[in-house]
Amino acid sequence: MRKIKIAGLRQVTNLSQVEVASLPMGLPQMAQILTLLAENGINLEFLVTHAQAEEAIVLVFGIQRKHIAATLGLLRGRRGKFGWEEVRSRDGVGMISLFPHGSRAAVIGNFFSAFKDAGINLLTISFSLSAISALIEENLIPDALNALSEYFELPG
Amino acid sequence: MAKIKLHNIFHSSGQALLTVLLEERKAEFLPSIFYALREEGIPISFIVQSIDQNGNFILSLTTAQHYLNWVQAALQEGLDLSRSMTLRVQDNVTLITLYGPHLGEIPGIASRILTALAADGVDVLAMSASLNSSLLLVPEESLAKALRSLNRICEIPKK
Repeated sequence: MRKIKIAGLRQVTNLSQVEVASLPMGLPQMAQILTLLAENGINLEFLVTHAQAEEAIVLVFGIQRKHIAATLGLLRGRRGKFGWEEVRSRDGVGMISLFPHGSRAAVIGNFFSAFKDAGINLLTISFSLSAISALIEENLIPDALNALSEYFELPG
Repeated sequence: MAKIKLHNIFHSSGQALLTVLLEERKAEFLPSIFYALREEGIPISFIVQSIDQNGNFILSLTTAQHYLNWVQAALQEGLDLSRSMTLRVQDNVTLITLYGPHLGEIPGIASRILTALAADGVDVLAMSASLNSSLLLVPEESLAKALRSLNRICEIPKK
């Protein structure tokens, strides 16, 4: 199999993932959640939102682990007021970002293959202009990097 | 409040959004589907994934509208989607990309973006933000309104 050349890899550890599920379609609730976090100085390492069902969306974001207690306190304290149903969190997660040079479908195929080969469950995938990122259990990051090195060629 | 400084805002219309809900074990078939898309030269302009409370995989991706039938068939056949597993399609969406040097470092960027769009009644179908960019999917008919909202809170400094 031919490896795909990439511009680089980045890993971030000490993260927690938070998921607010079953949000009604539309932006007001989501904007309220993000405003609440921003007003309290909580920065998001990544954010993903997409449809969960016909009439519901899910908001998933990553924060530094030291902010998880404050984040959950803020969200659960406003749950009744703003109307979202469920807040879940997961500690001990890390993010691996891959910086490819175009050719998205091939990159995505190799990306999924690497995690499949390593037997690593993907918790979330986010996408940016320059990178595709995966959130996984933090202790699996070395295995993930080994698996990705079988499919991608780093510069130098 | 100061405007958000960006390198650029650009958009790509004529996209279709596909969202598939599948059992996690079926995710092992995804690589072969993307390899098939590569062989056909089909671009994927956006992809995000999460896991729902039942452990199912929710995957959303966009491709150019004229490749929709091909991608839809590849997902249905490749994942052997049963009736209980859903594949939803939203036609005619636009991908808006906000590219800025410090988007990932300053709290409140996503909040300001979504608050501005909500105030103008723009629906966001999906969003992904990390590192130095935010990608938004909006219905094509909302594009002009969305760009007006974004230009109200963002600026691209002249060089």
